[in-house]
Amino acid sequence: MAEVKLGTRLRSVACTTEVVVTKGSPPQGALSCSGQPMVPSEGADTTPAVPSGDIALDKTLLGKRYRTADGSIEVLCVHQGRGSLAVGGMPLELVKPKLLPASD
Amino acid sequence: MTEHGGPLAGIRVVEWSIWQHGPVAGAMLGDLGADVIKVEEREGGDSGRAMYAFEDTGASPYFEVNNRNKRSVAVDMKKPQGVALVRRLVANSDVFIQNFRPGIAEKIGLDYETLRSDNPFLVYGSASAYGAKGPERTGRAYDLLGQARSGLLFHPSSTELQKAQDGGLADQMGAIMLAYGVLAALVARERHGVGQRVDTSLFGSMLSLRGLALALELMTQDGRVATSTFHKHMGGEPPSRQNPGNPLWNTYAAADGKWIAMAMVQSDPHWLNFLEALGRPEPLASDPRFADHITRCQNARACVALLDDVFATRTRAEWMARLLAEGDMPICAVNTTADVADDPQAIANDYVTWFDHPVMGRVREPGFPVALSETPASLRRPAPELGQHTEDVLLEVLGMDWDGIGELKKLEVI
Repeated sequence: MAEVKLGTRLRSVACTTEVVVTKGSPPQGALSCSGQPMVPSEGADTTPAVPSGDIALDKTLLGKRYRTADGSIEVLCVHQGRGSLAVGGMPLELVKPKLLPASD
Repeated sequence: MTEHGGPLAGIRVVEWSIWQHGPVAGAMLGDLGADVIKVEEREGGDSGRAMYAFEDTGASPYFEVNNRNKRSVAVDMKKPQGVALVRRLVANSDVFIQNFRPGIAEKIGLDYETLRSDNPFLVYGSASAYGAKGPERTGRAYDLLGQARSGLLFHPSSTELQKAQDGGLADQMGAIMLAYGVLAALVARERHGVGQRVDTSLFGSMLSLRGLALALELMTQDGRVATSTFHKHMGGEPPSRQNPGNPLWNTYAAADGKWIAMAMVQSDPHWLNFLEALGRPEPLASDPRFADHITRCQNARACVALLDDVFATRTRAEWMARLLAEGDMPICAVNTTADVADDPQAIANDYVTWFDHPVMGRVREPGFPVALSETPASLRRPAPELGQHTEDVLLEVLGMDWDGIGELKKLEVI
């Protein structure tokens, strides 16, 4: 299996979730979705970014970033799905950007 | 996505703007197929993200409709490396639009002269409050002031103040004019080989929206009289629903409280059909005061009072069915915004459309006001998460590699 580094694209084997590593280098096999190691995405991307079906069930959402508690590893969701992400068994947290208030 | 990707497919727009005035212009260009890259502050993003946001998901109808069909790049614009990154993006793009007060872009080095030196064919769109010239060129303003300055906050022909008709109206109009100017400049670039600066403002755009009222004022200030045909019959009174000058250019309430609008500017061709639809009520049907268009206008107040009584006897749906069955009359419902959402014409013409949103699910959104037969507009992307496409854009547009991106992250430039 190729090294997992910045820019590596990984997909879930359990659902439609697909991510790009945008910070850090998780050990091979450490990044999981629904408890199963994610695998390198291969070939042309033909799946829709937003899958059909009840997206209310999706836990990993398109365009959101998820990271480890210490912030050392971060991934960007490029295809959403129902699985939850973890590194070494520790769940990844949703990165909530610091937004400005609506009125100034 | 259509086969052609829209009329602006292949055009790249860098949009550095916040709230509504600039963002809607970017969204309009995005709807037409342009690749719109929204540049946002790395910490904070566009304040519009929090406007009207849902408490559970944080998604916002305001931000969504103002920023659909865009990619978001989050950059620390206070760092020189951040500004340099945006300059490189603009150098590789066709259009740059911004809606900061005049002086802000100049201060950080994103002014027209600087960006033109990198890209001579650039179309640079700038949206201000009151215009690029004059003593108040750097004035701070938001939507309400654009409406106030334009004269729209007074009832027509009076000095009675009214509430703003629609929040965001001046911002929206300013955006439409900014997109209009950018499109004209893109055509000029194709035909004449020149890039150029495009300036619009809330004030100028609202004056354009109020073009008829402004023209009447400007051309009658010397005392000449240009009276509308309806006003001739009002006996010097200000226009009102009770005394509209033409009783068939007016609104009427049905039995269920819903309103009907009619716009029979020349009512004689419609009068007999109209009477039939109403059931030939007396005295409307035989009273000589209502025999023709002029006499109806001269006796508008009496005619309106009678029509009020007639329309109060059936629901709007009943009246609409009868009126539309009787002939080709310019009549429609006075819609609420909720009515508009389900208006069959809005749906048939894609003025209201569907979209599979990753957070909100399958939702309806405003569609497209312009239908192009060969290269139609389309809704291809939801409004982006803050910085969702930072890496994507740096890789694709600037040809950077992941090592370079990693360095910018370490420096907290992106």
